[in-house]
Amino acid sequence: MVRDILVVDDDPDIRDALQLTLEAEGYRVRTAADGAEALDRLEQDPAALVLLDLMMPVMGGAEFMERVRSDPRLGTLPVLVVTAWPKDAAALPGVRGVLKKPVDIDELFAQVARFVGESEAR
Amino acid sequence: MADPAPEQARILLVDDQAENLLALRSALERPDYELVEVSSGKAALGALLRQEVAVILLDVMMPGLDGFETAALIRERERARQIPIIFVTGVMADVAAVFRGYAAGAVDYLVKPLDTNVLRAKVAVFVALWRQQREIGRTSEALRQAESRERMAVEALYDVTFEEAPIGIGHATEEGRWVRVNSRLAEILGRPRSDVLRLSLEDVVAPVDRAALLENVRRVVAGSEPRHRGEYRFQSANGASVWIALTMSLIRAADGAPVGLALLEDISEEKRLAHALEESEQRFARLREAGLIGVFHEAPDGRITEANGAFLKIVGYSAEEVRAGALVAASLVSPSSADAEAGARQELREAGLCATHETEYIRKDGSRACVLVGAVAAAGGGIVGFALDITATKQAERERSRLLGELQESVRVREDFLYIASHELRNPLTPLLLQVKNLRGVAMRATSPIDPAWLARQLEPAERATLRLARLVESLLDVSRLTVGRVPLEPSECDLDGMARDVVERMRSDIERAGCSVTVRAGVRMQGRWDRARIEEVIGHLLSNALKYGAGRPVEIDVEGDERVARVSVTDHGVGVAPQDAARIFERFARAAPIHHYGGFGLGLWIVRRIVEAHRGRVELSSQPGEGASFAVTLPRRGPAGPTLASVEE
Repeated sequence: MVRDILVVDDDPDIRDALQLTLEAEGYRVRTAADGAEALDRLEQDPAALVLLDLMMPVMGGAEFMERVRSDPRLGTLPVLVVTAWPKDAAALPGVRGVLKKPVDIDELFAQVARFVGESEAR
Repeated sequence: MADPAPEQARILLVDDQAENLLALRSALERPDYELVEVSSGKAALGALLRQEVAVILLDVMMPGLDGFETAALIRERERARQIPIIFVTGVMADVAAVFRGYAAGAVDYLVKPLDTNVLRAKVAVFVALWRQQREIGRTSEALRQAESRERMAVEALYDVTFEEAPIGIGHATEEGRWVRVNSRLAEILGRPRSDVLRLSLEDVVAPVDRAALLENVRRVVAGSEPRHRGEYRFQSANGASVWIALTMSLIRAADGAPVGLALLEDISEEKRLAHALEESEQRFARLREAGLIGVFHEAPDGRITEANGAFLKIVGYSAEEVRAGALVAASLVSPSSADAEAGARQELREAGLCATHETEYIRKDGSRACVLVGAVAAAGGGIVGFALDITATKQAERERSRLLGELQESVRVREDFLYIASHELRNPLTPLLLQVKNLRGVAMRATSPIDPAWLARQLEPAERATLRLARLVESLLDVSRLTVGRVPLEPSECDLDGMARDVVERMRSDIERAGCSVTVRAGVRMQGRWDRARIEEVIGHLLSNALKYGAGRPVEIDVEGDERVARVSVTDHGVGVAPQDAARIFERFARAAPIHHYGGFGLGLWIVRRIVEAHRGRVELSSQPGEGASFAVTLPRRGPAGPTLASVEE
């Protein structure tokens, strides 16, 4: 069963923080700095969940979502948007949930747990 | 056509001898003669009293009054004086002597024995003469009668004219008493005619004009002036004041007595209108001369021929120049107002006036004046117009709309800033909060000592986020410092290449995470007097931008210069800046990138510009979209203060 979480954010601090936090909870985490890089990662290995920032250079969150929805292999991939502007994210089709920055750790764990089973590593 | 029968001519035959009378009768008997016979001088005189006689045949030798004595008596009588007399005598010499006493042609003679033909011829001559005189008399009588009738008609016409004239006419004595006045005169004076005739001029003229009127009338009557015309106020019976134009001239009656002929016209209405007009003109003149509003007259040839002080002040020309015809209306109007002015002219031609409109004038000195103009067609061609200087109002209006625009722009910029700031401030909070809460959770659950290396790794993002928050707060504080007035600088001797290397060293971790390589290329040391901390801030912002937009490609920092200026440029090979954004990106809170891309307050380049300009330097951008951007900062080496710095810009 795929347990990987893909964190997509152009802010390296946020990438690191999310990665360390989720790894400390026992998840396997990979990262990407923008939408295009995220698609590359998904091409290599499937993921159970994507945590997606919206404002990114090269390819933003909205474009990434369109690509995911139009790709039959990725169509069902759950995506949680992590943004300072939840209103923007709510309008995006295919989004399964929204986490508001700054992210509350309990909220993060609760949302992630909806899509990814507990790691055996714990 | 037959001549009418000649008038019967009565011929008086005077002889004491009946046979002589018979002889005369028989010789003279004809239908157109009436022969009256008398036998003495006395009887002749009696006959002449009763009848008109054409000619008298008078015997000289008669008892009692003889022929000559009788003739003398006849000549004494008025009516008979002109009657021709033919003496009948036996002695030639007697008659010749007497003849000298009579007018020629009025008398003749016949010598006995009578020659019938001579008798008839002489009588016929006198009868013809009488008839002619009668004819003349009748004609002249008819003429006299016709003349008299005509004179009477004319006099009647004169009377009617005098009486009915629409102008007051009166005859006055030397003393100013009215002899005769017409009804209009009484009407003008506002009194019944009987009152007018009873009163003198002196009584009816208003006291204020009395002395002048009497003096002028006196001069006319005295003959020192042929005629006087003046305007005087009179008082009517009810006390109302009447303005009267009085014309006084001197005429003479048939007996030679001087008479003043006075003509009176009521000019009260004209006076009232003239006064009203004058008042109205004065009111407008006050407005015209008060200098509030420019007034001008434009001749049909387009030259401005008259203008008041206010108009001259608006257009900057002198009164002399206007008089000289130097001011042409069309050349006053600036090209930007030409269309509007042409429309106004069209309106003037069609309607005789044009609505008030705004126009821009070119003053004599070339500067522009914004004016409110209106005009009407003037009598005799040309136009009369007014102009109100609204330059200041328009300027204030423009200033207001500029300020409003700036205000709206700054509101928009602030809204953008809030949007970005909330994002930028929340971003570093995410790792900070996550890590702190995560570590707290780990610490609470820990059953064994926590691995220090693991802990350090966990704290790293939190530390970076904290530093980032600190930097953001610092840059916000910078903005408020740089916004208010002058940028405070602390200049000291420092070198630009050294500062560039220091900045790169300090930002090593950012550079690594951006995945860029940064090269500092400096040929020589570039020393100068600058605020070290500020210039390092400038380089830091430029490098931070290059890393952000550089797409992970190499970044170069070049330091160069000459003895006057030093230059540091930061070049990336990333997305570049579109030409339309090149100027805008130096504004506060401005960013070339769409708002959803790239972090940052959009303050960096604005702070750069403020600091560089405070050093009397400049910052320039050269960029090709998609090929990267190069920001070059040029600084005078002698620093922000000093007399030669102003020329550095060139």
